[in-house]
Amino acid sequence: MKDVVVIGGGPSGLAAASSIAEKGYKVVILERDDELGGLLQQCIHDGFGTILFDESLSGPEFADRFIEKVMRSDVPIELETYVKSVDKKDDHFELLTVTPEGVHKIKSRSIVYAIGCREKNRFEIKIGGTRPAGVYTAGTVQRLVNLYGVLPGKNPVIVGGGDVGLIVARHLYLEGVDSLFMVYPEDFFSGLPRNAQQCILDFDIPYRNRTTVKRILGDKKVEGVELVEVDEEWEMIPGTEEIYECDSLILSVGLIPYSEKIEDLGAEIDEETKGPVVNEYYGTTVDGVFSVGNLVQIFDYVDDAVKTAYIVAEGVDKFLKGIDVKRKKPIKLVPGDKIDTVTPQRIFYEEGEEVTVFFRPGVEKENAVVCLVNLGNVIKTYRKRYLRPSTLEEIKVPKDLFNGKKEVTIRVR
Amino acid sequence: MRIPQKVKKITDESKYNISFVVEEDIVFLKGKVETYEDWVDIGLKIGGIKGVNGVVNDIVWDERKDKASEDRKKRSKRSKKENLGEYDIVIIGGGIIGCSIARELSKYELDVALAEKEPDVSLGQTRANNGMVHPGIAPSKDTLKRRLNVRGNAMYGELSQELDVPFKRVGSLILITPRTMEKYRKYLPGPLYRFFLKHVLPWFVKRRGEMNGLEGIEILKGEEVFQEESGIVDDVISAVKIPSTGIVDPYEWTIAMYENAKKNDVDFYLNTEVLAFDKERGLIKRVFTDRGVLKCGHVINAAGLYSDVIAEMAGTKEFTIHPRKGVELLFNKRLEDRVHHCLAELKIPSHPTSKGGGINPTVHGNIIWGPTAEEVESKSETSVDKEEIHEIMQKYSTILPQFPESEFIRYFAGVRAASFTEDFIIRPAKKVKNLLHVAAIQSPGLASAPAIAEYSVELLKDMGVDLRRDESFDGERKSMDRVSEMSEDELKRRIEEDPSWGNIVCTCEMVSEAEIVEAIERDAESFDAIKRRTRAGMGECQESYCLLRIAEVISRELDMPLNQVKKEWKESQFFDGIVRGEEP
Amino acid sequence: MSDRKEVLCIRCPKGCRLKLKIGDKVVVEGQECKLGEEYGRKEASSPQRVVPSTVKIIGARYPRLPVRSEKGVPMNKVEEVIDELKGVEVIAPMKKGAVIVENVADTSVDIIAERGMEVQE
Ligand SMILES: Cc1cc2nc3c(=O)[nH]c(=O)nc-3n(C[C@H](O)[C@H](O)[C@H](O)COP(=O)(O)OP(=O)(O)OC[C@H]3O[C@@H](n4cnc5c(N)ncnc54)[C@H](O)[C@@H]3O)c2cc1C
Ligand SMILES: Cc1cc2nc3c(=O)[nH]c(=O)nc-3n(C[C@H](O)[C@H](O)[C@H](O)COP(=O)(O)OP(=O)(O)OC[C@H]3O[C@@H](n4cnc5c(N)ncnc54)[C@H](O)[C@@H]3O)c2cc1C
Ligand code: SF4
Repeated sequence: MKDVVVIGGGPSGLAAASSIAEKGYKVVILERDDELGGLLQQCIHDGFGTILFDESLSGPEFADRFIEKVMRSDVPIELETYVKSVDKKDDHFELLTVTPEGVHKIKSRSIVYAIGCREKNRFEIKIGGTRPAGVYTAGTVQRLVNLYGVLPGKNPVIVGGGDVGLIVARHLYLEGVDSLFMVYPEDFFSGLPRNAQQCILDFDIPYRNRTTVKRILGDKKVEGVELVEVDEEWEMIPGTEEIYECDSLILSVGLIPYSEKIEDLGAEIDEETKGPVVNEYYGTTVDGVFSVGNLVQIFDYVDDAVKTAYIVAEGVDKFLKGIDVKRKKPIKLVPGDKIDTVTPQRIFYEEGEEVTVFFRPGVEKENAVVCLVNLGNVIKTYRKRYLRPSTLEEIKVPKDLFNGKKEVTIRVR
Repeated sequence: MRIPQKVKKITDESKYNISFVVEEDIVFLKGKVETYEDWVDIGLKIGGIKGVNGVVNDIVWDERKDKASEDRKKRSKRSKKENLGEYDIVIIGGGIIGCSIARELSKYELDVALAEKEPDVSLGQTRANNGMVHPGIAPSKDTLKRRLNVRGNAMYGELSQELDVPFKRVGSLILITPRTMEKYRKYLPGPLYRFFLKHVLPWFVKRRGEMNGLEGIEILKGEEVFQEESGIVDDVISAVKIPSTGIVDPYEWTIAMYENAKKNDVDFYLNTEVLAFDKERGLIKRVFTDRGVLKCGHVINAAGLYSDVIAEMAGTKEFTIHPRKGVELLFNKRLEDRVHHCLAELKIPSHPTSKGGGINPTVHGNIIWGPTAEEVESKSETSVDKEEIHEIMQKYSTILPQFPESEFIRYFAGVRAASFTEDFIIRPAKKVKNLLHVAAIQSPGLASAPAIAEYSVELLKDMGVDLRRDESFDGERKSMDRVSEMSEDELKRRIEEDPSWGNIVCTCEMVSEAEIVEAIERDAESFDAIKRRTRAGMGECQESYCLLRIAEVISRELDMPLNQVKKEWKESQFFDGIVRGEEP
Repeated sequence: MSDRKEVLCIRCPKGCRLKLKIGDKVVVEGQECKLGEEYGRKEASSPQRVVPSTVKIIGARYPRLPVRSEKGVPMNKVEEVIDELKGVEVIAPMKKGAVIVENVADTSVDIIAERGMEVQE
């Protein structure tokens, strides 16, 4: 019997596994790919680790810090491992895994899910037109170019101006496409200014804001796209359609947590984050099942994703020790006015100093005041220099603030 | 009135100047109209005349040249001279119809060839079908559709055993709700309307089914409906349950037919387009294709949407296909428990050209909503727009109001090969005595397919084909093994033999590397062909995880560089060259 | 004579659009705070970029090895650096941090391997 099974060998799974192992528990990591590191192995640009290490590392370099740590510990690592099923028994879980070595049963007292996210595809954003070869998600292209050295096309169009799209644009430009065009529905790139500058503006790559792809053209292979202008609500403006010739379309239109598996176990899912509802130690609503990293919500910085892994170690420790100082009814933390998402969504334990709360603003606002509100009363405020929906924010909330409350709302004044 | 008078009445009433000729109950139309809708409309009116056996609609609706036929003429020059062989029968078209006939014919001592222009079987209308094996209640009494649908449906059970393809008789519910006869409500005041919908209409529906030869039809009222299907809209009044309705995966079925026919020595020529015929004394002697020449005794026209083109090519124009697009929405498997039967809301009067579609489960546990029915000018018009998605969401959410209709994972469209008479056209060609049309097979073509194959063989016999049973015929086919369906012990054993059974490359559908390799061994050469055989890439992430992983296996197995891996056709190579123009 | 240039400030999520006038002295406009001014000056005098790319690797799990410039190179040299990587080939195994190209494009910066790669069939 294991104490903890960590599913997913990306940065947050690795960090979770080593911090839990440091506390003396028996841990195993299961990873479906044939190497550790998760998405970072394909993110070969620098910019990772600025928060945690005060260094600008590339994805593989950042991943390696965690891989090395796990390798040095005695945590077993099972690669190419597919988790076929997870059964909840009275006091443990039974996992059935499939690997090239065989079919195995693993028993464990708890599980940490760190399976990350997947990219939204063309169907989820209802792009019309045909279904030819040449439509890819940005992550696939990143993998294609950086791991296989193959280009997706000669003149791609990228839709989406977030970080992933920006980074991919630079790779394609430098690695030799003939031409490149980026469109996005926002007023300005939603990615970090750093990426907008260094990936698009540095090279004068053409782009158009308030524009999206309405239809894909071409029967067998992409021959072009129909672009359309959009208004502030991202509604298409009729009459502004325009055909743009290209041989591939790259979608960078958002990431969503891989929450199916955990939902099947009975965990409650947050409609806004699309990830599981978690408490301050990243426990889900199913006892003994935890969730960290991009599965909880999409973090802009991997550094923040990893923070959740350090916190979960405390939660797993409490669970395994049977420390039950849970509040009878957890306090709910909910997004209010001008806030899109909040994690954690529940405060469970009474003891502890403070809680790190992440929230995604619903507005762009300068010198914003973020308020914690209970029953209509503001109980604490925070100042933020500048809020943007595309930047996840963090605040530290003293634990005693929650005492005696049922629900606390976060809003922007 | 005789046919010419009836046709005249319609052309006279039209605002256009339309001329016509009637020959052997086939109506040939000429003239000019302004819009495509008018073109379809006149054709349908004339096709609806009792006794008309075909409508050749040569009315022009647009000054533009017909690009497709131009292209074809150009291509016909590309036919190759090489001799591919001599056959008793050449089948044109590798859809469910062509493949079912091929397998049926492989039971006899005949040399059979099948030519299909696409790189795989089932790429025509068969591919975009919603997999319903209709019971046969909808077609009117004296149509071919009715007879072959009822018979075809009955044949599915046994065939699915032989071919080792899942088929489920889930049954269908025809739902009667307050919206069913909205148009006639004014004639049925107050409680009369409800009474009629609860006690009279279901009985009519049942009666119709019985007249068509169906058995076991039940009428459900109020609560009984919810016991069968709990998510149905609260205000449902009654329902008619037809137990024989089934579901099947249309391409899996077609591929199974193909594999079994091939095993019984039918020669399949894929990537082979029929471009012209060589006739002597009114009989086709040779079939010209872009790959070579097939000498033939008899020819079967099972070319679906292009069956009118084949007829014309053979010099026996007898019908025109008017393409009718259908869009479908496919939902996440996770919603499997929400739908157990094929569901449709009865609407009277019904849409004149389609049964209106509905909500179906699929054999793999997905749910499918659709199809729509839209007349389109082009036979290859399978694009789907946002408006069409919303149309489906709106139309069917009245049946299942709680269903999370935004959780679809994919949408697609197919084009039906409809004729103006709206019935199947299965008969020897009028002017070419060794050509059998099995044409204009629109819905319920899948449901009828086994019976169509059987009937086609009867007709061939009448046409003089000598049918002697081939004693060596082996009708058994084994489906691919699937990790997702294996027991734990079975999987263990497999992995011991070959570790690639334990390497899961598509995590949504749980498909192993070994399955990808087996699909390649079973003739799949492209990503989509593998997808149809293994379901890899069909899950919720829609290829975003497995595309590259599978492309890597294809590249290794077929020994081609990664950037040459194809989605489907040779023109649909996925990727481009190597970075910075480097050598691979 | 003065040069004009627009850059985004990357010091906070606001991303002010800075207008730089580069002459005898640098004038920064459009910043909302002091950090922006500081950043603008640096961008004006010596903008530097870390260059990420890949080179061909033989005998490893993947056909490409991710590499980057060890530190920033002058911005106007980025494309030259990439050109110099064209055709570079290495053989597995490779160690993380190994120097792949020395003094790339005369920038006195080395190109290094971002990760290790083992030999694999
Ligand atoms: C294209 C792209 C570009 C990015 N660019 C940046 C950037 O410039 N800067 C930055 O700071 N952040 C960036 N990020 C975000 C950063 O990479 C993520 O925050 C980080 O990868 C999240 O780590 P994770 O461990 O939660 O998830 P992942 O890295 O996704 O790891 C999840 C792991 O779980 C495995 N797994 C999934 N399902 C299963 C299963 N069922 N069984 C077993 N294993 C499973 C996966 O194979 C994977 O290894 C980027 C992300 C993407 C997608
Ligand atoms: C949206 C939609 C939903 C449907 N749903 C159902 C349903 O639920 N139940 C049901 O029973 N039916 C359904 N149908 C109808 C059913 O799909 C068809 O009746 C059936 O697939 C007809 O098969 P076929 O073999 O005649 O045609 P096709 O599948 O079109 O096959 C014809 C083949 O001929 C080939 N061909 C054409 N010209 C040439 C040439 N010159 N040389 C070589 N090859 C050629 C084509 O490439 C094609 O592969 C549906 C149809 C659509 C479009
Ligand atoms: S100038 Fe100041 S406010 Fe503007 S982006 Fe830079 S740091 Fe932020």
